[in-house]
Amino acid sequence: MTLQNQVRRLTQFHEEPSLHAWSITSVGNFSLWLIVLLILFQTEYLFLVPLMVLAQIFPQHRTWIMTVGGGGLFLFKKLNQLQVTSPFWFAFDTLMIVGFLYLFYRIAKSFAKLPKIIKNHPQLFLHALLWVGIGLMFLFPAEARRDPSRMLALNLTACLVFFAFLIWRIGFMLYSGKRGTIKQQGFVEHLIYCLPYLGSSQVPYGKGLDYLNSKRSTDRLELARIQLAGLKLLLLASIWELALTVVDAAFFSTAVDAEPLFRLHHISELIAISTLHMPGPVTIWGSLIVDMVYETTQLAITGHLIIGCLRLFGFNLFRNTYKPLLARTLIDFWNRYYFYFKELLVDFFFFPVYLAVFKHHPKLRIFAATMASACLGNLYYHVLQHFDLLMITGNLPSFARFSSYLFYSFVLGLAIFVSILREQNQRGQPHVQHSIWVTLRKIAGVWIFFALLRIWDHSSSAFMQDTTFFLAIFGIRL
Amino acid sequence: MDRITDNDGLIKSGLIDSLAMLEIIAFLESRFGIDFSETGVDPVDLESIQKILDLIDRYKQ
Repeated sequence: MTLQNQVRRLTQFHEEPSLHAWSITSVGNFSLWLIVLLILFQTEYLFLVPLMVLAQIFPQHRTWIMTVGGGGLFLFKKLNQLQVTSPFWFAFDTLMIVGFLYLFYRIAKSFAKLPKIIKNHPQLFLHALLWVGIGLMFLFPAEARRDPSRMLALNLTACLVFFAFLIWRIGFMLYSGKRGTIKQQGFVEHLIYCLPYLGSSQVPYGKGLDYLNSKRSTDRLELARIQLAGLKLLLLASIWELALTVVDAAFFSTAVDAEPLFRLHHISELIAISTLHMPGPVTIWGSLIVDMVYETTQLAITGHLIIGCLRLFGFNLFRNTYKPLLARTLIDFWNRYYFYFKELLVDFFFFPVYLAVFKHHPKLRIFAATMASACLGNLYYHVLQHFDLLMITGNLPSFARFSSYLFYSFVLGLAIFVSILREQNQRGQPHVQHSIWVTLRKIAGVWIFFALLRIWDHSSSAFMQDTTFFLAIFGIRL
Repeated sequence: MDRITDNDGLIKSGLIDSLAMLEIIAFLESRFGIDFSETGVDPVDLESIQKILDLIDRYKQ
């Protein structure tokens, strides 16, 4: 066996039939869970290990185990974040949230009987409801929404924050209603993804129940293979975590007694520094590139932990991040970088627009759908993501922050559209084997594009400040 | 090259990507008159040749 085959066998260990068989023996299974426990020991996912083991022992009760256990952990964690500590209000909020989800479940279940206008535009209906709720909340003065002595306003705000948080998941529930698949699905099954302990963002890793069900293991040997694939992701997450520690020490360390080998900056810090003194080109380009790689790796770690856990529960899901740094085109990077966010934009913005407009103008059709998803949908998602800040503090994130993100989304949408057209033009042509230098040049182009684009997407973005910095890199001073 | 069976996952095996999915949708619209705007697109329906055939059958009914 060649060295290449041996490496491949090692990295693809989860595809080894002998290992599948071994992992369902007592010793093999004990070893699997021991390794999982060691990896998750210092993470917030530790509490899921007993639930995963229970789901394996009682596969017929997997749904209930994930819902009751995972849902309970989710509510506990989120309500604690919102500083709901009283048992009464905890119960009140839980009832409101679960009741709210049940209401949407019933709506989705009776989809065929809904008024035509809602049936034709269920997602618009859903988002209109949210904005009506937001409007009503403004009847309470901002102070009331964060005053501990005014518990009703505080807890209604918490429920509305949850609604905004869960809106994309409820959207998937309505899609199940539209497709008619919800008729065979129970409410508790939908809570698997509607009360998501796994993943703390609005993006549903694993999408909705239709998708999850299509990826569910059906027998013990298949479960073993999926669990080993999950273990592989957890191991990868640990390796990347270690790699980031090294990068931190080498470039970003802020410890007094540990000066890094070569001082680089995360992007928001770099832009802040540049307003006082423009660093040298090596520091600027080094920071832009290394920070882009750093953030991509962070995203991969989070995604590997979440998808790894879902695989250990028995769902054979795609990775959230799959080698984006090896992508040779912008569209390829976008597909591999944050898969479930891209899927959210595709499901809720791209396809609805693609199916509705310019059917006889293929390029215009793709342009409209791409801009609706990568530009407008992307921006709208981020507005909703900041909604909790608005409801809790009463302060809107500044316009400058969103104008910067609007520019980011616009350029991203255009770039993806151009990349799609280029890929389409190359389809059907004979495959050309590029030299290693051409391949590296393509990869470098993708890295530079996204490293520069991130100038308009960081924690302290402001359009003029970001644009001034971008121009200054090329020697243009405003 | 190995033969593709009717039940092989096309997306999973890397045989089609999201761009190819757009082409499949456009083909199904023009060749079979399927109107996806009624039901939306479920990528699961396009995951294998068999599932695409099932989708066409469902639409014909």
